[in-house]
Amino acid sequence: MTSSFAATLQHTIRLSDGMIRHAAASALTVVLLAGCSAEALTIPNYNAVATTTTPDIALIQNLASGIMAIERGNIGGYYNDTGVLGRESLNYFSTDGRTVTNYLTVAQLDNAGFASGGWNGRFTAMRAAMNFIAIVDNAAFLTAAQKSAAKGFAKTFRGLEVLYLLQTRDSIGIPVEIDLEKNETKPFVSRDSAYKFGLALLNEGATDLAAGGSAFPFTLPSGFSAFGTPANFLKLNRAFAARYGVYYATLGGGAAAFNAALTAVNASFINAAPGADLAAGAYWNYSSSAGDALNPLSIPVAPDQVAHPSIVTDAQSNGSVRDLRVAAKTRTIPAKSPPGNAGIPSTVGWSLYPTNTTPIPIIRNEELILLRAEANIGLGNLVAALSDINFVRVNSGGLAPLAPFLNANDAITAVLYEKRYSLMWEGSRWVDVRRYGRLNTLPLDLPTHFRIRVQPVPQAECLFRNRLDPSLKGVGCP
Amino acid sequence: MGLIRRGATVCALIVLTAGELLAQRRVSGKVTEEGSGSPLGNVSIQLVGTTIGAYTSDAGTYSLMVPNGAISLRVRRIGYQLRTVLLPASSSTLDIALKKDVLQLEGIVVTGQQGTLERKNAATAVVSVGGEQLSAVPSNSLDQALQGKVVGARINLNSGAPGGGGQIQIRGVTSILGNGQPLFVIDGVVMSNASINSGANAITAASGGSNSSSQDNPTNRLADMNPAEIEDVQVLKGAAAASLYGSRATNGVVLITTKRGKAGTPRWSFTQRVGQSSLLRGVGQRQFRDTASAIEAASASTGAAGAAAFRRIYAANGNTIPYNDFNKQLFGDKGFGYNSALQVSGGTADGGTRYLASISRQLEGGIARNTNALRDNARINIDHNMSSRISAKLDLGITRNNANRGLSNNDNTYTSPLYNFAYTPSFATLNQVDANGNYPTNDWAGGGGTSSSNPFQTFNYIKNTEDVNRFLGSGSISIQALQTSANRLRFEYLAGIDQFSQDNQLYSPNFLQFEANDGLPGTAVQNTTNSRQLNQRLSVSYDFTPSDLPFSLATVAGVTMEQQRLNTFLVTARGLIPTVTNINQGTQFTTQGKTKDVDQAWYVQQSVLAFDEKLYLSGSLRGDRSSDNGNRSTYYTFPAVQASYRFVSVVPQLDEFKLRASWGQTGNRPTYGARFITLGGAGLFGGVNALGVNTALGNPNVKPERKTEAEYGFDARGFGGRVGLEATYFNSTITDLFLQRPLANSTGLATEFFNGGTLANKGTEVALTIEPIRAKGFSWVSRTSFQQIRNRVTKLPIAPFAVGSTGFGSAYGRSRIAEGVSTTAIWGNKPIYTKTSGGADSVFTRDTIVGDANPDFETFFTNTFVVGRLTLNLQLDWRKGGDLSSMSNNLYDEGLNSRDYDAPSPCRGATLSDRQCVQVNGVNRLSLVDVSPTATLGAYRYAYWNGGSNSTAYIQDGSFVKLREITLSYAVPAKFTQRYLGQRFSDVRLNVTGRNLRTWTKYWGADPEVNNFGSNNVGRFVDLAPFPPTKNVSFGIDFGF
Repeated sequence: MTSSFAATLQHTIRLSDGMIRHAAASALTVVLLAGCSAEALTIPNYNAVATTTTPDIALIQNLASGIMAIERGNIGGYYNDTGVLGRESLNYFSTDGRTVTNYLTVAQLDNAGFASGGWNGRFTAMRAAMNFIAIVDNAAFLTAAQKSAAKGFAKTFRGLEVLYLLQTRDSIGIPVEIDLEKNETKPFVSRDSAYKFGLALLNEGATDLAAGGSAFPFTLPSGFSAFGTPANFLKLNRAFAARYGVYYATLGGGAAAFNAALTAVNASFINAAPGADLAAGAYWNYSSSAGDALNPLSIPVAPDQVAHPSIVTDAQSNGSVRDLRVAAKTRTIPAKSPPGNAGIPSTVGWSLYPTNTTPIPIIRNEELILLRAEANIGLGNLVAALSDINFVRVNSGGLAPLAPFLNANDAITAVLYEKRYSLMWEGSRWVDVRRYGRLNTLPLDLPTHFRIRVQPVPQAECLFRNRLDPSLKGVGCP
Repeated sequence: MGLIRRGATVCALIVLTAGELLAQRRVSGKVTEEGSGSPLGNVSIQLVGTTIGAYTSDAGTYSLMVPNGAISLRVRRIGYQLRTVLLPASSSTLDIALKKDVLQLEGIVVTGQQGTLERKNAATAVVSVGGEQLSAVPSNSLDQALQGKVVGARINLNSGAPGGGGQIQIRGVTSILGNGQPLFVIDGVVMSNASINSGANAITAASGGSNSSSQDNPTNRLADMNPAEIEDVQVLKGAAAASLYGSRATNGVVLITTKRGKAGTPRWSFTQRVGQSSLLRGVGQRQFRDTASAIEAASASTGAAGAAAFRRIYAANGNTIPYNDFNKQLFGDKGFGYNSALQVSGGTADGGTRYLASISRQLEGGIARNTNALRDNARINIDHNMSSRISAKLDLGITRNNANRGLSNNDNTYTSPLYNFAYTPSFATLNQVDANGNYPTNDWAGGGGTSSSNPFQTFNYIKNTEDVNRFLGSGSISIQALQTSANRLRFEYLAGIDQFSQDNQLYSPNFLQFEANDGLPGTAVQNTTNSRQLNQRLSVSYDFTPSDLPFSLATVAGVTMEQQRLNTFLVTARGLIPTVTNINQGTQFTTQGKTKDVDQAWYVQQSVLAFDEKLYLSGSLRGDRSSDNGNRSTYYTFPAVQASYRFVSVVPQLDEFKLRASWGQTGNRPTYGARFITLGGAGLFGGVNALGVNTALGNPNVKPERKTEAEYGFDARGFGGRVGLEATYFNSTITDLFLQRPLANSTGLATEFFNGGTLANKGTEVALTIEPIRAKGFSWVSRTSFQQIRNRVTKLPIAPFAVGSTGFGSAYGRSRIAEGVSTTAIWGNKPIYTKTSGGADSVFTRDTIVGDANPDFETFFTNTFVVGRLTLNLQLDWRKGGDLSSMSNNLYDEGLNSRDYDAPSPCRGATLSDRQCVQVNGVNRLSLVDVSPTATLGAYRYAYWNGGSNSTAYIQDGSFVKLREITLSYAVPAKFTQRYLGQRFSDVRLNVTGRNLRTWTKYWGADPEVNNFGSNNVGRFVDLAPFPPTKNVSFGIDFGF
């Protein structure tokens, strides 16, 4: 026993001794070898620009182009969504039937489905505009006028994004503010507040542009050739203020908003003189150059986009001549159905964007004239409204002028018809019929179809908000 | 006694140095298999305590020079039990018989970076797969060869396209966003297993306007390995076993050891196999029985034009409805394949220099036109002892891997064949060219006109070629600084390189039916990737084996430096001039992505073997820093401890029982770029570079994920080595999960890189080996392994989120990471039935859990029968459970073309209490949509799916039994070969093999193992128009001479 214990003890000592010697040797080795330089670990980011990059005039241009590139990226989805929901277009994307079912036929809107779009990109564009303003504010190389011009430009786009977004969510409201520093989630605000917020941004932008001197510290793309200086860009800013002022006026803004809209539209690039170019306005232009974007709604890029058959059947005629806007914007195609045969074949295709670089309008003179008509109707000036409506009706539609309106309701019906055909697939109809409580004038092609009032808030946004304070949930996230 | 020994210790150094001067004698003999008495080649005979040794010839004979005096020889061969034999001073011949090691208890396992241990002492469950098992049945990639052979791993091939493309997941999902593949180490060199997307997206538009997509059906680069070059694959599964690989090892480590040269005269072996691949299971096509249903399908998407096209076909066929099974037509080729391999191994007689050189070529014929994979491998491994103290190794391997993989998977242009066939009724004839060689226009999928697409035409003309040139090389030098009988100190330096270039070229000529669709006919893609990985390791190992004490001690310490660099460059050209196949013409856009990661680490491991080698204890520590971590100078440390104890012959019939336990940690570094906060690129606008918002916010504090795993198990061996049972339970948690934490999109951002949350995996692995029959001339060895893994997100401090690239929205099912739920859960829309306050039934849709991709369990059965010279080996894999999202089925139903479309609806005869089936005019309307009880099965499924409101309609059980491998081989008698082939032929074998010959499953699609997304950690359950899997048979002959 004793000897065994002694042996064990001795063994343990030998073992410990061995382990210590080994450990010491290994530690020494590790220390010697671990002297490898940490400098080898300094690998840069090869693929992107750090936010901490010192700004220069070129970066200002890149960021300005960035705001517009993101906004340009949003327009295709917006015109598609509002087009399908407003029964102007049908997206018979041939390999995914959800481009139909998620918009028209499912009894409950899928907030992870296709119709939940028009969300992320809007906020990204707003954030890009805010980033831009922050960088411009700190750019010592810009003059005060240049800074003012740049900020007016960015505020105009930020306001526009707020108001675009509001059209897709309408009565459920939207978050409007963005926390640039901490990225904290901001609450939903009501439609009324959102309109006021967006219009205030446009007005601030107008003030900045007015103090913006003679030139922007960057150049604008060719679709904005009429708005390349702060003074001209101000006219575009006022055009947006007119559109959304009119919208707001019909949704609670009332006469004050109609008056503000009327002031804005007259300060815009509106032109109702004989021979005026109805197409004059701001456009997103496209290019097939490497890295640039193609027109997402054009026939080559989106061959599965078709027009709703009611565009042809509802068109008015001047004698035997159908509304010229139908032939100008659509074409006859072989009957097309979506996968799974949704039972609404269409033989009407689009001809608005024949090539993949045809520009897409953002706002045009034709719309401004009709907005002025709407404002005048709202203010009871039916005669002034009739003049503008007939100007578009005759010059754009080739139709006979209308007789004086008996009442405001008739005038609204008339202006909505003109807007439907003049602003076809330009995001107007769904919004217009909803504003005037006429959503039920949209046709239901099948008994299983229904009319969406607002697009759902995306699931990801709701999953995030549902963990937060209930005040941040918003009505859009049940 | 003690005194003498101690004296010997002191003198050992002198003795050893002088060893070469001592008088020597020659020992020779023959090694045979116990029982059968057949000679054993390739047996290592080594003089214990020295590097002196030799290998037996194929005739089993050996001869070596040994010092005078009594010696002991260690005799070992893979697959046989090791023996140590004493040879008296007087003796110079020794014949030895080895017992078969059916229980695989012998051998050496790797512990950590380069320490080794007798398998019988191993404290973790380490899987070893011998080279013979890998190359017995031809495979298109190492992934495929390993299927069903690694208990604890889920290995699947994403499709049947030639050239492989698979995924290996060891012990469950270990990461959401980080690397989810094991670390592959070949002869000490870390090897890339990247999956690089081909750029086929330019044609399929699977990801819309993106340049490439993980839906391109990429090949993972493990496919470049030639299984025949491999001596052994060891899989370190648990964190304790893999801990010394630090922050790249959470998904385990696969250690590949290539074959090495053996001393003696050159020995040649030549293998030739020929075989063919064919379609395992097509999805078929609906056969129309009457014109009404045919017209319904014909006009589903193309209206009156489709109906008219049908009537034309109907009339042209004498008022009959033709039937075409497009799957069998397009994938009906018998793909001819072969495999030729020549190997030579030899060395100087004293074993001072040894070499092995091999060269091989494998052609895998595709089952569709113009698809195949051709791989050439060459390897030279050289070992050289510069002196008794310094030895060096030089290994060089080169690969050329060329694959033509056609098009498959998700698609938005009807160019992926199954996608197309789902919408094309079977009366359309697509595969017959007219007198001018033109393929018929497909009047359906894509709707005719410029959108139409005929996959037969596409496969005939399109080129989608992947060409990989790869160089793997390593060199090492090892210095024995000290060698006494009790002390051995060794330094080793190893440097390795793995460099490959992958060249993907895609050409779609402008006359193809779908090419006019975008107004820019003709598409060419050039996608080039250069990858270079370097690693270096400097280590010291110190073994202390005192002969007078009942323990031995081994210590290993080292430092490593690893560098990985990947650069991809992709150009797409559209609108090509006819016949110009490259990107010079046309519109184009380019992307470039470059990553570079550098890791540095140190490690140390100390092990004790005590009490007559019954107790094994080991502890280790590794420190890692990486350029990918937020903090680049911090070493993140990963400890591990292991212990095992063997009870020998304590109970009758139980020869040995070992308890083992281990605990350890490993890491998984963040991905490249996660630490940077950047502006987002927004393309060009009017020729100006646009910079916007990077919606995936970087995080300068990212750090490695950390896996902590405890593993317990036992190994038992009884009945004279005829029954063996290994059982392991593991429990791992992964903390500091590397995620892209969702941000409210209303911030203008989408995600932020983030460490947080905990993922847990628990699992059981059992392997039972029995040898029911062991008789002269007949034996049967049966091995059954079982694995079960349960996964759960136990903590998630952030909002739950759907994982990108795991599915197609809630309509079809996708992965969502949520607390308390498995990462393998499938989330999708599901109708929820409730009662209103008035008692009426009401229904609403919820995005919830609708399935789980994780199997209930998997079991692999391997049986080997030896009857005389015939050997039959069978491997059956059984997977129970594991759901898939059968989107292929959905497409076929949507097109009204599923093969079982006309079968009766399950609602036929159903009552209202069955909530899946609702009468059209039923009072209690429960479903979102009325599903007629008289509907056909296809119409029922599609209506039940309800435009995506009920994803459960296409979530299907993927249970299967698969005849994975079968081999029948015959060893030609030596007398016969020597008479007819010459004296030099020592070993000739004939074999017939089969792989995936049969699948038994109720699953609707082509195969329950397919996956639309090439490489992803979660969401491996989407079956969407895959390239259908194949079965292969081959005949082979092996020569040794």
